[in-house]
Amino acid sequence: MIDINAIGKDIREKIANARVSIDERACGRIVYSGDGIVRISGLHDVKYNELLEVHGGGRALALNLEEDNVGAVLLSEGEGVRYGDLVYSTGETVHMRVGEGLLGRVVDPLGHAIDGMEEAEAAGTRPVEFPAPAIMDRAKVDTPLQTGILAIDSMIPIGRGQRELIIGDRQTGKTAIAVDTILNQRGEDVICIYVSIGQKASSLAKILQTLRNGGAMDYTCVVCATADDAVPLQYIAPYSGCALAEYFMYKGKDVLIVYDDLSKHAVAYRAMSLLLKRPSGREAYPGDVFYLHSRLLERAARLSDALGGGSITALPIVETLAGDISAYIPTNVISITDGQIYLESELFNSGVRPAVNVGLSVSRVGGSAQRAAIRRISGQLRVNLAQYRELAVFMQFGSDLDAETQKTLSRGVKMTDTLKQPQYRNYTVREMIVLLLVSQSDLIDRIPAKQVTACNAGILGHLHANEPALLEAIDPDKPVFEALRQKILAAAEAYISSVVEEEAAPPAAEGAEESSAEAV
Amino acid sequence: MKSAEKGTARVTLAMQADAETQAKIAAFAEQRGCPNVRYTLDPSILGGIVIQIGDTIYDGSVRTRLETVRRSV
Repeated sequence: MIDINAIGKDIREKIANARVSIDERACGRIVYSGDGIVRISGLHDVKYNELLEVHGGGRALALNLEEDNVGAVLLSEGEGVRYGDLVYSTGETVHMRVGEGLLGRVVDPLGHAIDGMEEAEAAGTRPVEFPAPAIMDRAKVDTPLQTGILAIDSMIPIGRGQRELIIGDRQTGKTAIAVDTILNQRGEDVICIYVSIGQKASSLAKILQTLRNGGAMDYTCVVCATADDAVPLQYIAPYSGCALAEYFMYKGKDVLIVYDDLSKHAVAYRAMSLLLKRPSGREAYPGDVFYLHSRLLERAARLSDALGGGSITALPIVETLAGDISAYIPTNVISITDGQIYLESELFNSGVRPAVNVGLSVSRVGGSAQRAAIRRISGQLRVNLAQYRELAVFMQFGSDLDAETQKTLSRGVKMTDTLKQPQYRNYTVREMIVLLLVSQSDLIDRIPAKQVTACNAGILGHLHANEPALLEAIDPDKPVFEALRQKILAAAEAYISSVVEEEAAPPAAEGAEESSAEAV
Repeated sequence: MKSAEKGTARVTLAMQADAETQAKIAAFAEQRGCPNVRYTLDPSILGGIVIQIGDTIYDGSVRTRLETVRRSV
């Protein structure tokens, strides 16, 4: 039962405590308003990035402090703002509502719920712009963040506290990798924040549905400024998401934050800067567009144990045009981050999914964070794949090949097939180890070509069903010792033999078709 | 616009002030370097007084007080 008297008392108390003295505030008047930009005369004491209150309820962000006026951007739509309206300074900067209550919710860049449910309960607020942890506050990145994607965890490992860029053309599966990674954090004690910047509301709805279905919303907060939100909201969205992430990081938690995507963020900032009449530079971006992203991504860190040992792992996404990674924003973000996962539409269309270009993708710090067992096996994988790609180029000339070359080629194709992985099918670390062991052994020669995907699924199914103890015996943090390796390979061989014998009859593998790589 | 208004306190009231109040307002403005006072009537502030001197606004209107209360509840 709700006690009406208690509520009444509460309200009376709040009214009594409300500050109703005559307040003395700095104010100015709007002398120009258009395209979401206002110029204000007066307000001589206003600070950079200060939140302003426009008479009538709107809010604005002071961004240009000039000699005789202040340029500000309206955080809400510019309707109702008139010439001569009073603008008050508030003395504070933009704050994001933070707290555990925001998990499982969809919020705007100020932390207010926009998922149609009641307001999320916040533990407090944090400034949206906040200095990155200092050098001495940081610790080494040494704990892995498993994406559950074999191609990434084996060759481009990501550590907690790292910044790994996901870059590629439209429709190459950039968001899919990020979403798969979020889904894979279930039960891993990692809090996820998905920041959507300037995306279509329809794509966001789809992502939300995926996260809900996968049970990922229990530990995920979605911060979003969609394409129809005011440009300044799109501009502050990643910083807000980061403020929320920092709240958890400084409490000692591990956080994964996805910025989807920073090219749209740069475009929003460009629009704002041009309207504010700031000088434009390359590709019409303002001069500080590098700083725009570097100060955001510097806030990702692994804190030292003295500060609780929390971390923010950032996965920024950048969209390229026609694979041009030497455009302005891609080169900027590549140089800021600790590595990149480069996705190619050609690979994507030829059926290699995730379409990771192994040659161009790197992880600059994640190696030390890789699980020991995987590190041991995957070292060779990269070399083998590189060899295969080199040979594959020559193969196109179609001359006679000696047996050794043919073997390298066929192994390369099969290894590429092993790295294919359907969306939402994340591998556990142990499953990855099994797949890598098989693909690096002679066993792979026995798997018929074009059946690798199906066969791999079969091996895993066989192990789960018949040899669960063998899987359990694998310790991801130690190299797999020889005796265990032999046992695993023997079990895999048993399965392959059973399949290959049936093979004499019509092929029954359902994944055979999709694994037919026409051009590699 | 600015130079013409320099030294002028802009006072907004909900209703006409009596002589005593006007004297107080003038003294208040004088203290802050404003010899001139210009009055505006605006019933929408409901009551109280709003004084603007240069870039500073002293807001003692009933409307703002109610707004403060509304926000804190």
